[in-house]
Amino acid sequence: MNKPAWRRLLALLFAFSLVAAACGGGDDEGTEAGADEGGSDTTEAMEEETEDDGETGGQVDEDEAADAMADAADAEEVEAAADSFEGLQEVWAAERASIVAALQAGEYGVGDDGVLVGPGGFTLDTNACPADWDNNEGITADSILIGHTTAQSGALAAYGNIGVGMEAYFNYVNANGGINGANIDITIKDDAYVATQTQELVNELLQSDKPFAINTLGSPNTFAVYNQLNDECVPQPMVMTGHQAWGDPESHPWTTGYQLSYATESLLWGSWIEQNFPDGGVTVGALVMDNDFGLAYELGFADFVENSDIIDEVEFVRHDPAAATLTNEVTTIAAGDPDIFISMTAGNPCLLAIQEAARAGLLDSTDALFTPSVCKAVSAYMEPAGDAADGWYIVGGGLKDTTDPQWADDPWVSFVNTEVEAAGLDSGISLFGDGFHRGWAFEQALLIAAELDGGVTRTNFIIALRGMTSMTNPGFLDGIQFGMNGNEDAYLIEGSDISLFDAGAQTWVKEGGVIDLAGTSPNCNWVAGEGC
Amino acid sequence: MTLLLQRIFDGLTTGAIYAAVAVALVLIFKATTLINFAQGELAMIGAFFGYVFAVQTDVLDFISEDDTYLKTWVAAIIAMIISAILALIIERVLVRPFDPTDHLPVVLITLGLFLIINAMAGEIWNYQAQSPPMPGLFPNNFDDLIMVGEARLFYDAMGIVFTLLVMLAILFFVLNRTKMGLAFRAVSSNTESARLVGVRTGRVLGFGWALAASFGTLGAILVAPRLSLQPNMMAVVLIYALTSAAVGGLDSLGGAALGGVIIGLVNSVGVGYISDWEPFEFLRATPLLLSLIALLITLWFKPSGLFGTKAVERV
Repeated sequence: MNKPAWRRLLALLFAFSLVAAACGGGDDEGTEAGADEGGSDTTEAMEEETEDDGETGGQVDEDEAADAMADAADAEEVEAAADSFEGLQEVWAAERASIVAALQAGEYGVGDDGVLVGPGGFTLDTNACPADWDNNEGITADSILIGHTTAQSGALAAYGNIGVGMEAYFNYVNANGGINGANIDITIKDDAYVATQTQELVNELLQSDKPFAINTLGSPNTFAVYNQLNDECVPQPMVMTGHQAWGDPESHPWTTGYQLSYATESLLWGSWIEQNFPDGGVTVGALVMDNDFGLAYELGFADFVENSDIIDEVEFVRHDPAAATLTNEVTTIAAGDPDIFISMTAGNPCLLAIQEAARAGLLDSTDALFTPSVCKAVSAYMEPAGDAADGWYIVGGGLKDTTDPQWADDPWVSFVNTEVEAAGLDSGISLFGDGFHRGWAFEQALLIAAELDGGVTRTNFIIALRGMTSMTNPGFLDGIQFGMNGNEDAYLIEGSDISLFDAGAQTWVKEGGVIDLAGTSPNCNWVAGEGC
Repeated sequence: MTLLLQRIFDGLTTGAIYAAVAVALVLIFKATTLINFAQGELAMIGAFFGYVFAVQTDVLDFISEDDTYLKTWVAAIIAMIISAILALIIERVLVRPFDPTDHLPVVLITLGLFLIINAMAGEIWNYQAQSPPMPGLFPNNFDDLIMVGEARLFYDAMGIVFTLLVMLAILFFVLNRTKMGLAFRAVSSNTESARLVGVRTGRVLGFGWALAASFGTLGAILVAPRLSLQPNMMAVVLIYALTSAAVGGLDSLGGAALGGVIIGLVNSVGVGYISDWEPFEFLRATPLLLSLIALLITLWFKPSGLFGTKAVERV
């Protein structure tokens, strides 16, 4: 074949392959796959809800949130639980002992009838688990194996650092005795934030590695496997996503969230706007990542706006999760001249949104700009934006960013940064620190489970996690409550800070006290097409 | 009117980004009739080389701190040279041993390089955006702009377009006015015939790879402050660049540049206005779709692209 013919063939081949890639790849594909797992298309369902303006639920009551925000404005600083790392260890030991005592007093566990009874009305029928299900899978006297799927390549690869940080923390725990002598081991698999790959990797983990629990990152990815993991009675604890659907102890008892739910965060954006612009007539422009993650924010905020007398109009402009630039999308938003700009995105687009908003003049023309809680990392998303990051607000979920200089002397953060460096990692990367925070929570739940009858098992771990009513999580601001209580409280974190970024000092400056909404989020049995 | 002008400016800027990589793709294609899928990643790693000299080491500290742009330009030139050497090595070690008429192995090698270079960059620099950020070759603060009416035209956007035009002029000069350029065109026209008349085709192909890598590196350094320097910065750009090259003509440098601008404008003006119409609002989240429709329409009427060589067969 001569060259021109080759060229024609190649050109056409390109066109078709690229069309195929555009129509079938990336996150949409993952979302659909995830929905297939659950019997319907989550994203499509959400879109339908937007059109219907239906309630999606999963949010705390609006009045309750407004009151909590008002209380927070005048609240005094909460005193730190301890002023040294050793002091914190003593606090945690006491809190664990108290939780263990309460769980033992309640005589929680799996009864002769195979039904697990836990605190707060929590029940789980292990008879429904597969015939070959093993309560001790992945657990030996020497090792407790956790499987983890995350993005270590692709557009959101930076979030893969969380798993690396978590592994470094587990190594520290193991070097200091582990869980009653058993090491916490973790197997990390790269799904590139593609939900279909998450499904394949979870199957691989279940069939080959056989971990005792599997942790997933990303809303579309977690949706892709949460029905399967619950059907197979595999714990899916503290997933790395804030979708409200993870607070569903009755239908998905093996899955729990960790961070502030996106639904509550979007409600707090709305409450803040209402409190600061009482005269009304407010218009909002929102940049939304087009997947389950971004749509959770969009639906939560749309619900709020529907009932708001203050916010007149909101324009949601969705963007491709893999977009190289956000210039066009932000230009579209700027053309609407909004009073408030809200970024509902994640990963590198967090940074791009800040830069493009400044370029489009939104920094000057708007009254306030919000970046989402998942973009709080100073070194990853704020510092590289330079002056463009100055003056952005965040409903920060109470997280302490380990690269924020205000925490340099904090006993936990200085411990984290020392251990991150000791592990040969760069303490200038925030998400390693986030991995330590999350690793700590795993360790605490395992330590509590180890004290229950039968030691660490899958069911005891779930009892420990759902009965961990109140602990001092050092990765969060003082005053942020960390705990669950069976069916009565299915969210670990429900409080938040509202902070403003100071680009000169490269730090988040908290406005008022923490907003305490502990125990107020309703459970969310997420049904595609209906919401909670 | 302001919005239209702003979208045109946006389109020209992003179009120039796509064009920079598209031109590098076409250089390789002209010489080998191959698409180098690692082109974007070679450009990305080249930008990291520039970052090392501009920010991470003190090698260039002899340049006054006041001359920020001079330092970045010197770093960029060093990075272009290193990228050219790297490309020469890749071509000599990984590409040349294979039969140039058998495309599959070489395409697979470029796909493999894509993954390897991306993973290596992630391992060395992490996937997080670099901080401090990559300094610009042109003023790139958010207030470095001129207002055209109420539309914003940024200095660095003008710089990207200007540099692209200079790159094209240099390429035209090198390919049309130098002995190596003549040899390159001969190999591009017919490798076997060129070899028979004494052209050292291996060296010429190496030259093509080096030229493509160095210009790709310059393009990546130009856009790094806008895209944020991180290992995945060029992955999506590559898809648009491929589309641009196919629209303009896979063997036409000017066509590739124009294709980039067309795709940039399709994305900003086309998607911008069409998606304002509710049934097509979904285009905002899938902007690539309209670009690919533009590509299909182009190929339907001009199968070789707008400026590609028309296929002629002897009967």
